[in-house]
Amino acid sequence: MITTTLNNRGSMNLTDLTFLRQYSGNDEPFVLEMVSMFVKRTTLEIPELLRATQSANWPAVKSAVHKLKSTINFMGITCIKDKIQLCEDLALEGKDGPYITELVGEIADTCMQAAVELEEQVLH
Amino acid sequence: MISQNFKVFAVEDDPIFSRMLRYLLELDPENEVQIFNKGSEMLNFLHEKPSLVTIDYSLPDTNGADLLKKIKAENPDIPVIVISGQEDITTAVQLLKLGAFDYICKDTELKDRLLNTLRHAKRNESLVTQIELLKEEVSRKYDFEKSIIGQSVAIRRIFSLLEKATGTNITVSITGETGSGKEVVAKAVHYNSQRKSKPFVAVNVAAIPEDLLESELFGYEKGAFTGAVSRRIGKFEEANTGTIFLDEIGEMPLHLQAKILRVLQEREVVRIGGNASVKIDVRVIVATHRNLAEEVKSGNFRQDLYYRLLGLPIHLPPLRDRDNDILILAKHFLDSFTKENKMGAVKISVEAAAKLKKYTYPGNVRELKAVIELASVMSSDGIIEESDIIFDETSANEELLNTEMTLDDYTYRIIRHYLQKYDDNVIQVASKLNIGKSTIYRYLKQMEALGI
Repeated sequence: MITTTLNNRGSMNLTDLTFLRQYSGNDEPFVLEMVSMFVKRTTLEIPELLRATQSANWPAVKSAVHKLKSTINFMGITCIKDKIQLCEDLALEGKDGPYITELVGEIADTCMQAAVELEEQVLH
Repeated sequence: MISQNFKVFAVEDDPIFSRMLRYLLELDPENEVQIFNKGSEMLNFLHEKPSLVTIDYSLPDTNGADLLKKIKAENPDIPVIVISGQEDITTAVQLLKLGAFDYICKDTELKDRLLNTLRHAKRNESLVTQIELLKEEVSRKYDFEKSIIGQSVAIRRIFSLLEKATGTNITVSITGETGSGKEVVAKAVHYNSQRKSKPFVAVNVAAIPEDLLESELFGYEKGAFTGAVSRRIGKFEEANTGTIFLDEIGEMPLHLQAKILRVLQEREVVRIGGNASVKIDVRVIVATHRNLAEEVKSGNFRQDLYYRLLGLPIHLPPLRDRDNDILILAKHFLDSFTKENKMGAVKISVEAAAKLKKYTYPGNVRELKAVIELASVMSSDGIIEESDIIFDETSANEELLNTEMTLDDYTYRIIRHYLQKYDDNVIQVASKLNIGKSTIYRYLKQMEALGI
């Protein structure tokens, strides 16, 4: 059984796989498959999100964070839920670029950390 | 119930969510899941008639609302579930108005919501399938040859009129004695017409109290009268796109006849207590045991409505005038009854058949059916004997006596009955009635002069 409540340093985890387990009826191969997909996608898509933010391509930013929104729900990354919603709303309006950039930075960092955490604790 | 795969098309461009969707849907082996990344890709396969489509609201080539409209335009019967990352009530309401079966958010409630909606969709599909099967069954049941039994000249003429009636939307007016099968003919017209998959609504005017008839026919708005706690549509609206059968139209009160005329002329109804008129497309079939032309003369029926309703008149002959149809019908009712009641084969003896043929059947086909059903219960050793045939003679005599005719009219009726019974053999009839041949000829001449 995979535990995700506390990491090996004793601090709280960014991720919580309770939803995925409930969804699949504790089907561990399925949970691993989803985690693996998340890790792979994050390492590919977060750099794209950052590039879109740097070039102020707000529709692309909006679309990318919108996709992240449901994924972070499934992976239990609840700490950035509100930031993602705010970022999506601002990107839709296409204004307050510096604030969007700041939000995207936080979202990207958290997602990358979550991916590392899952890779270390679940996939290895 | 037909057991077949429940084909689900899921349009989803997010690989994580599409995998989750497939996983959940495939937990039920009955579901056959096909994932599409784009709306346009799915539309190319819509001709395969999926049982259900789920669409992501935000897709690379379109949005949920536009895709939903395209699906509904091509096949309005396919249930479409919109799944969105956005919790937005306005969008959800808009999509439901456009015909979405449900709107589900990609949140932690997803599993329960989706499985629940899927269950509803399957139940709906099953009900729709059952309704379609029942419609086909009813349609088959009212095939002319199966529902109207007989080979007499009179019945063959009815078949030819029915064929004319089913090819058009002409109003059909059916006359005939009680029990002669007016409703069966009305259903045969409807279920063999282009409206067969639409509603057939029968209203027996004589069976509804006069003060309720108007609201039954035209419906009412909330608060139209005491007890009108909510809006209710009437029979005309219920029959929209189908057929309304107004049985015993001759019993319609005069003040409602004017309203019926207006509905037929304007093709719209106004509910009681309402102001707005509702357009309707209804085929009308009426029936009566009365002579409506006579009712017009005596001021009981509006002439304008009479001509509006006359359309294609079909007169159903009384059973006593249908030659050998009595035995054909008797055999048909016997077979149906024994089959329904899981009885062994029952036959009618020669003597019983002769008794059946002799009787005058004031209650017509309905009475014959009751007589046969009773006889099959009374029979033993699989044979209906003469003694098993029990007629309600009192009702026959009462019916004849209650008709209130002149003595001459009674005489005409008796002579006509005997002539039919003995194949117009005047000598035999004269002998049976113990009168002279010349008396019979004299009455025949009088009847001819009176046009009887």
